Amino acid sequence: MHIQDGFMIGKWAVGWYGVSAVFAAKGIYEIKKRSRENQMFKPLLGLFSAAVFFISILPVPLPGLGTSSHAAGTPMAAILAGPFAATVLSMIALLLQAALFAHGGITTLGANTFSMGVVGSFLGYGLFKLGRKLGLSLGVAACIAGIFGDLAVYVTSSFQLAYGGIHKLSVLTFLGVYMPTQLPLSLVEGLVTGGMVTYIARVRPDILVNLGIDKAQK
Amino acid sequence: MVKVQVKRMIKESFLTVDAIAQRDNVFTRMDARLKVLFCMSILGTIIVLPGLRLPVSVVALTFTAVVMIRTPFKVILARLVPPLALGLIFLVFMLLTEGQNRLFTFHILDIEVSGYREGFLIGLTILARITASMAIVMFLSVTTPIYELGRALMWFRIPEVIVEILLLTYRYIFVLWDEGMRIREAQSLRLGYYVGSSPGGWKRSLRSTFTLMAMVVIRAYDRADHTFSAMSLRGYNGKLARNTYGAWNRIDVKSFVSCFVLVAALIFASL
Amino acid sequence: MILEAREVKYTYSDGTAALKEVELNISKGQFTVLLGPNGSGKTTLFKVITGLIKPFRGEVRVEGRPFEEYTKEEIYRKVGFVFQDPNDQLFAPTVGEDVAFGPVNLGLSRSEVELRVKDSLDKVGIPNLANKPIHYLSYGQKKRAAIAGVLAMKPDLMILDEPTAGLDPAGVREIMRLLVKLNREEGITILMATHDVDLVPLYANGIFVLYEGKVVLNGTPQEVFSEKEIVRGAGLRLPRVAHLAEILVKKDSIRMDRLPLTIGEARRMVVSALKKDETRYEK
Repeated sequence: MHIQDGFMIGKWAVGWYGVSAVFAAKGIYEIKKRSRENQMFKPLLGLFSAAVFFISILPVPLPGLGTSSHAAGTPMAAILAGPFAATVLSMIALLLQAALFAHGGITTLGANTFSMGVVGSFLGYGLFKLGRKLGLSLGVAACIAGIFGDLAVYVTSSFQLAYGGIHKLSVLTFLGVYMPTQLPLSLVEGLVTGGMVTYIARVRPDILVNLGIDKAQK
Repeated sequence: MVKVQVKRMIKESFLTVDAIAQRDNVFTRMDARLKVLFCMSILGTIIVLPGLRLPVSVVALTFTAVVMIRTPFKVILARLVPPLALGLIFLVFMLLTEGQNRLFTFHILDIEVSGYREGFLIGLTILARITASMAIVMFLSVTTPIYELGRALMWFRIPEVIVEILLLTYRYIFVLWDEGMRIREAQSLRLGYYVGSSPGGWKRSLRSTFTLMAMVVIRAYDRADHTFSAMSLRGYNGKLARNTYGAWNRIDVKSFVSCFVLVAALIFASL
Repeated sequence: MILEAREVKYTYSDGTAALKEVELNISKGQFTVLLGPNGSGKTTLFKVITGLIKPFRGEVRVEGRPFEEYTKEEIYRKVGFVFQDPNDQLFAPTVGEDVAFGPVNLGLSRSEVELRVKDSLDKVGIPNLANKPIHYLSYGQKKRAAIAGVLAMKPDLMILDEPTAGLDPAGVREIMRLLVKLNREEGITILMATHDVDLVPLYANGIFVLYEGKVVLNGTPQEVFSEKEIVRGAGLRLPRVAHLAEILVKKDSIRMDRLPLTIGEARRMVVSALKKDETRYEK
């Protein structure tokens, strides 16, 4: 659940826009640079953006409940496109979600981009890289990235709401509201992210090699 | 069953909103730049200014507009309910915890529960703001297709890269959605999804879900390759979107001025 | 000759030899069909001809000049390529913007771009869809929009990969009529790939049969389909009408001086054969 319009006071909303803009600017710079090196990069990002959007609106099964919720897809975006480009992709996804089905909001776009596109994608990407360095398999590293990348989004949202919300409430209150639903969802996000990467590595290893996610096998 | 319903609900909501924005009416004919400017200024004002009057009048105005262009009631409801529910929970929470002036007191199993005036006012303000913001964003999205929005954003100097990727995303969501749903149906026919709560069923559903997601990512990758080839044969040089705005339309400018006056009057009234 | 290919070979990096020995000669104004079963190398050949895949062996000449002498821009002004799946090609949110993409990249002025967009949409028969988002188009309309996007580049040679795939019979007829119109009225040389043999005799002046990366036959429809064994060996078949005629000749000893390829030809031949029969019986 992203922060809705109306929940955040003006100056914080603007502030988060500012912080996110710095990361987005770096992301835009990187996308431009990589597009100059390889003109396919922009269409590729567009298609990945659409794929991640699809992933984020697809219901995922939650254990024991039988009901469904949605994955965030951010850790996957970060693994596929790199953390800075993923910030831009998250911003676009959030804008589309706000416009098409009122998830999140316009004034809170900056805050949501920060929690999802900056914290979520950097932590997810960092853990994935770290896991790979420590010798974990692609699937396990992606799974860890998925769990903590997703969890980090909601922890960040709780802090944002506690300090920038329309009325002061403690971080714990928000964590208390978020965690019961988000904890199992994060685990599922991890499994789904790990599963996706493993599946792609098995069926189309060339994709991961071309994107620099995996080394070519000899 | 729940899963099927969720699937249908999401599909309907994003496809329906897109379809409503394609219709021809007085608001869709308006210049997207003006609509963006208008909605953003109202949204900003709602967030910044205190008080109830502005949000309430914005809600009244936008709802009139949205109903006037025959937005299906279901769509309005689907967008209204989640934020409103959140706002209501917040209102109750505030009512029961904030303030000194008791409005009422009752007992549940020897626990004294009281509602306070200050909490109620804070809660009500937040509820009004949430509803007003939601209403104004809904107005924008049922009157402005995403590609119009993208062009307007480009005119407002939002970096081109963002708009280009936004438009590619918008274009290919529909393609990937159709492909993804075909894969999902094929999986369902082979019992790929279990409805129920057995751990084995969950595992199988999970496996089907990430397989489907991975397949969509793979297809996205391959399609990017084809699309890029097709683009290069038409002389792609790194630029995908372009500013297509010509001179301002006089009627549009007139409507902008009246919108501006309206916003000013609203703000003035709320002070 | 607008397009010549000599001894073109191409091997993918995984070792698959997609093209082993390809010879093509296409003169200006022709309507040529590249006939081949799935996996015969049609798409690879088109990618080589349009410059999408580079290091091939052999020689490709466009209007007599070797391919390598052209700049990228000169090539895509001369040769247009319509992809099989229109969704690969139509990337812009609306039809008009997509058709404008090529002309904008050619550096044309705004008014010239608009003119070309309007003109191309008129020619493919969807002038009213300029502002329509692509996801609201039917499959046939998407195909037309994709053709319009290439047409707006004003190519001399238009290459189409399976333009009839995925269309219903009425859709196939409409697209083929459109291509014939572009060929006759606009003077655009057409080269299209298909494996639909029934379609070919109706429209094509020339046929190249591609099988396992080699051109195994070429000539007019009449010449190609009289080599029945080679056609069948290449994973194809005769047009249904020709097959029927073959059986009539073999089993019912109806005499036909040549193999009919279209329903019209078959009708004339059958009628004249029956008339000869009648005169024989009357004697």
